[in-house]
Amino acid sequence: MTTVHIKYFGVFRTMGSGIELEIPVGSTVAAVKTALWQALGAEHRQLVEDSALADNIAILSNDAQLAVDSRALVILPPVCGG
Amino acid sequence: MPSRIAVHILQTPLTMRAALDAVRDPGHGAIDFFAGVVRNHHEGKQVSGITYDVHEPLALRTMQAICEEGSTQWPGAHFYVAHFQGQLAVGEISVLIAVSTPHRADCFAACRHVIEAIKTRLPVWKQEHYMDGKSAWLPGHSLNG
Repeated sequence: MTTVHIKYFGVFRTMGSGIELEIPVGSTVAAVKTALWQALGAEHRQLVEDSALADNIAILSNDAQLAVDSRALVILPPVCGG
Repeated sequence: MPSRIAVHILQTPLTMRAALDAVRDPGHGAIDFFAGVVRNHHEGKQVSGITYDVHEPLALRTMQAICEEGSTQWPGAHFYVAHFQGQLAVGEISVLIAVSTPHRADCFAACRHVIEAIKTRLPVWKQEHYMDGKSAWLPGHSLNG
């Protein structure tokens, strides 16, 4: 298992600044998102599934495997800039 | 002449002068500006202001990519894009875009390309504040591919 810190943005900020999750090494992004909504509660499932996980460089696709040194991620809810 | 691109996330007021200076070119006869401004109403509610939350590293990368796409479609065009981070009152500018090209048709089109892409791709979130003291985060476009 490894610890991943997920920083919150947008509407997620109503739930705090972020969350730490224990996930199996080599998990996919989709698995991390599942762990996230399970930690937050089923009422947040749709929001998490509509959101994207990213590092500071790029958005991660759902089928991507987390890199071994991937410790800090962000969860990006649907955007509305401008 | 190659395109010039300037992108910024700012916590200070966005100014037309900075946008103008970034894109003016003696070979360009057209400059188009777009300013997004905080509106005083939304879906029947009276709005007092908006807080803009931004993932700055990804926002800068995304704005750069949007402008590079524009420079491919309109070679030689110059682009300036600035988005505000923090809280604004009604009437203040949240996003400012300037594009210059030799002629106006390309200028309008390139400027529109930038704002439409920003609306759906930029990692920015709005928290609206209402006159009754309540606030709400607005829905938006999913970044999932």
